[in-house]
Amino acid sequence: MVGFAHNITAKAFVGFLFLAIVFGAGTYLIYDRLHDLDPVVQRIREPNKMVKLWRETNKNANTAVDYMRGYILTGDTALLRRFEEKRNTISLQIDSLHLLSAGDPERGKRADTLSLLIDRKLEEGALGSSLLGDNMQMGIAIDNAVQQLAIIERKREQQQRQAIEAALNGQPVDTAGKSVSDDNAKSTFWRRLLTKRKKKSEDTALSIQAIASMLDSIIADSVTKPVAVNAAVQDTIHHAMQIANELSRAKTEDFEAREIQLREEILLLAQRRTTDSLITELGVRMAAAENDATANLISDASSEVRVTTSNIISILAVGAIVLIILFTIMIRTDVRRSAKLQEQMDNARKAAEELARTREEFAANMSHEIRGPLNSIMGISEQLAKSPGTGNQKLVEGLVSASQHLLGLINPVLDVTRLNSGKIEFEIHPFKVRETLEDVHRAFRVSAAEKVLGLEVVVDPKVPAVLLGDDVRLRQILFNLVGNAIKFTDRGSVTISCKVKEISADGKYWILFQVTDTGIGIEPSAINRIFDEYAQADSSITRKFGGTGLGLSISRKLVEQQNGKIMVTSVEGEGSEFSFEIPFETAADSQVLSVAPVAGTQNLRGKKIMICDDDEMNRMLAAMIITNHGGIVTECGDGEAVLHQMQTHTYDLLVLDINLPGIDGKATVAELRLLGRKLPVVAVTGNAHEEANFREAGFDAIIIKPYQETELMTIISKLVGNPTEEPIKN
Amino acid sequence: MISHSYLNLSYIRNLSGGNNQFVVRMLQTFCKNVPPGVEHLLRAGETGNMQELKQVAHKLKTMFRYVGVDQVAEYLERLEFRANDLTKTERTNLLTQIDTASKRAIIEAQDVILTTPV
Repeated sequence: MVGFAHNITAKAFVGFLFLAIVFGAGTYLIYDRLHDLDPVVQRIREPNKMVKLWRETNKNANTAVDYMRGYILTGDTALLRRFEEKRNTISLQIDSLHLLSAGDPERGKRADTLSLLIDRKLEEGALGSSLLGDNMQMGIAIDNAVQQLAIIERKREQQQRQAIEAALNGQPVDTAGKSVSDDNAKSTFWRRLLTKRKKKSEDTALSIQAIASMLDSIIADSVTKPVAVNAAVQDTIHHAMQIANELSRAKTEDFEAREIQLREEILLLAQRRTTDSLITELGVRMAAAENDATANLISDASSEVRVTTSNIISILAVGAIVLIILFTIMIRTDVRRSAKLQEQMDNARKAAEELARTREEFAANMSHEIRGPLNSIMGISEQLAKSPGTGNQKLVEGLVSASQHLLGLINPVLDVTRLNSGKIEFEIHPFKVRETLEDVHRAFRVSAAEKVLGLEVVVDPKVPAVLLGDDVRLRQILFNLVGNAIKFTDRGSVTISCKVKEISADGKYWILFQVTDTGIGIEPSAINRIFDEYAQADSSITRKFGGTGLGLSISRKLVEQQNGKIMVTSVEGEGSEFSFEIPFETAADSQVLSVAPVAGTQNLRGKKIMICDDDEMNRMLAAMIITNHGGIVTECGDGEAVLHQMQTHTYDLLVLDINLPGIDGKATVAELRLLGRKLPVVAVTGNAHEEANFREAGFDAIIIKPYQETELMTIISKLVGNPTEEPIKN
Repeated sequence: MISHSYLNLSYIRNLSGGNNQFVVRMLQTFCKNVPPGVEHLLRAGETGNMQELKQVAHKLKTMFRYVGVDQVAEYLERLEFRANDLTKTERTNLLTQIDTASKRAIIEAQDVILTTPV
């Protein structure tokens, strides 16, 4: 069974280990699969490349347009180079977009669209710059005209100066009536104007106004100049008028060109806005598409992980279920086998118990059966011993001795059987422990003297005079121990000591009894089994000293059933000490019943005793014994007669057969107890097995037929100490 | 005086303390009560009344023990406790032996009564 239990435990352990491994592997695999989501998560965290490229491309396109515009405005070739670099960058970015769109037609379309829109934006930017350039060209034409006007002006001034010098005696005169610094200022003005025009095309209109203002100044000057110079002035005016006409024409052309240009610029602006909005819209769509793509990616990845994880969990669950089923079957098989073995063991135990019970019954019956003829043998022997002159006194004495020995062998067997079956009941009553010890001393005094052994009883003064317990069983224990001590001691002494070991919390006296001898001692190897049934130190002891090997076992059981404990210490060759301790309550000296001597006395004198038995011979025997001891006997044959007699008479004791016709003995005593009668009742039975439960039935003692005179008188003497009862009053 | 191969009166003699009158009274009672008891037993055996058989066997058992006829007491005890386990043949054999032995014991008891000085 233990092996099976271990087997089941091992299988359960292995089963749980496998399950733990399966679940551990499953957890690891699921954890590993969750790691597959890391790139997706990383990708979500990072900005979308397509959108990023779109933004950068758009930004680069704007920058490129700016470079182009700058170049056109300034003619700075560095800007042109930068424009080309940006355009290359844009081209590379468009290529990158196409690469990223590989395998995705929708992305490819968006990349193509962005490429077209960027190209268009660049073209529109370039076109816008071109228009600005055209404007600038127009300004340059005016500038050229102004320059031409300036040349003419300088030439006129020179001629005018020469004419004035000639007219005014060659005296240099400022023909314009202005200082040189004014010319310089005018030149500076033109240069500033030019510079301004180069800087801003919008300054063109202002320049024309300046020219008109300048002309007005010249005309005004001509009015205020001397007549000498009028011819020259006239010429100058003519030229100025030519220039003015020219300028007016240029101005008109310029105005017309500006209108055309303005319309073109408005149109181009609208186109650029359209293109920008398309690019923006494309970017939005691209971002949305990329978001959708990312969402799809997340969905796909999580779906894949979910599917994979589900598969793993399914596989593990199936594996776990298979393992559980497998191990459950294995363990259940073991449990069934175990249960079967348990059943077999239970059956074997029941059979053994039945056998033991049968053995005990057999032993009890045999003891009972043997005691019958043995009593006869002892009776014959005693009878022969009372008949002197037979010439066979020694044979008779041998017969008596053998009978007593046989009785000594049988009684322990019966005792141990009763002890094992719990049929021994302890009669608790006050007794004088010193008297008990003196009885034991008296009983073994002769035996000890025969072996020249000292036999001493030592009682501690602290031991209470009267104890509450079963002195008969105490005497039996001491008889066993002292008998053994004398048996196994050849020289020296045997000491019986008694002292108080302790007083427990509940007020009980733990009395320690010690029987110490100087005998052969006990082998250390045998000391542990010395209290077992039929155990002696070795078989040679049985041969040499005799005995059943039950004495110590009975002693141990008697001690333990009184809540005590028994111990032994021994040194082989030096002696042994058997000790036992039993808890006793104390009692007052007055509570001790005086047990009168048995044979040949008149201690029942005046005691009224009723004998109830349906068998006349039984009544005769009991009546004869009780009468011999002075008792007054009333006989009756059934329970009804007992109850009837008890109504009108008082009795000190009732000897009642259990097996009566009509109301049997148990019912009779029960009826008596119900009626409140407390007189002691001795049960008489021919069946030893009825001995067990007599107290429960209400009896005070029991005696087995056929009994000896001493047995009956011992019981009666103990019980008739109770006061005589009053008759039942109806 | 016949040889007493059935009776063993040591028990009642021992109890009586040499009171022959008591011994004779006991034997007279034995002779008076045993024949009807055995007849009752045989009848119960014939009719198969086990309860009655056991009860009568119990009563007779003690009587035979007192006079030392232990073999018959043993037969009676077997009937008292094992009657239900015995076959009818076994019961019949036992009853026959009890009947025979009891008659012989009564003869011996009567002889003792007649020969014992009171």
